[in-house]
Amino acid sequence: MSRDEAYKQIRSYLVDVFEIPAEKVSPQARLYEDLDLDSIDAVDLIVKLQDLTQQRFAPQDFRSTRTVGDVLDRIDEMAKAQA
Amino acid sequence: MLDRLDRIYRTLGTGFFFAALFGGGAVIAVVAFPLIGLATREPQLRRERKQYLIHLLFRTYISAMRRARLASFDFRGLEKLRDAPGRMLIANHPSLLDVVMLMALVPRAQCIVKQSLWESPYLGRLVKGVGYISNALPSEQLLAACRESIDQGACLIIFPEGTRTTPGEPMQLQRGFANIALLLGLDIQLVTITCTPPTLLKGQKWYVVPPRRPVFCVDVGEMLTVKNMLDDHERPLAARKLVRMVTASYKDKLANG
Repeated sequence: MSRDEAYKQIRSYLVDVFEIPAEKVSPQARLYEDLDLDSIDAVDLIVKLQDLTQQRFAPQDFRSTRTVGDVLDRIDEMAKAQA
Repeated sequence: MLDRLDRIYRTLGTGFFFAALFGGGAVIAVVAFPLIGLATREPQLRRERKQYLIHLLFRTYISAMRRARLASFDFRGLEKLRDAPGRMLIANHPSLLDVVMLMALVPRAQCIVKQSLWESPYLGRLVKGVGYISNALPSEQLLAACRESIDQGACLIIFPEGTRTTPGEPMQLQRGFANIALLLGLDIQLVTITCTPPTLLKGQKWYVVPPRRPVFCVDVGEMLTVKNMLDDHERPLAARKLVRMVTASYKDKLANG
């Protein structure tokens, strides 16, 4: 899955399930501050990413992610590591 | 003249009770809890005894305040609390006495406590000693702690505002309570607390007593069943809906006094 596709999927998930206005979602948007996610939401998001990418993630894989772009980077890295 | 005397009396009295809460809390944590610890081996029973001790002390505290005529208390719908074990109880948080009143009404209360209280020199020992739950725990551990206390038949008290209401600002509820209730499938008992005239508010000094003797009202309201909220929505969305529902309900209740 390309980065662009992944971004589209995450974006629509954030809009549909977390009720975040579409215009607020951007690669630069910070998950906690700008998008008002909390720690339980973050766990949900990770579960969703697993479904999306068919990879297993652990919560600590995402410890240093702050923005939507960071999440995409992380998915890229994990995909490369597993390839 | 009488009015002034009354105010002086209430200022001194409030000061005494204020000191008793913080000082007494520390004494209980340092003296009574270790004694319970010595007398009780089993950790669950130990916690239950501490919870019950707090309940008895807070009951005494409230009735002493009432007898000293420093405040009057109006408790409504208490019969609904009989089913409180194994449920979540949420309340708005106008004053410093809220938790004292709730724990005086609920024999076995487990409470989620904000981090700053956890670190407080006086009450910190007390809240840690009883084994209340810190809101700074990572979410999996927080959930596990909540589940454990529910399984043990405690009533889980949460103030979704996170801290006392900032007077004059719109009510802002944190989403944590909704996520916990949905994840654990807990019924939510709503409680509305008011204080007229307002006193012991956030940022208010204890010695600024209101012109009249305050009336604290604790109104045990409706019970929300959250289970079927997950039928149509994924949990994050259901949690947001639940927060909106509860916020609207509080707005309504507080507006119509």
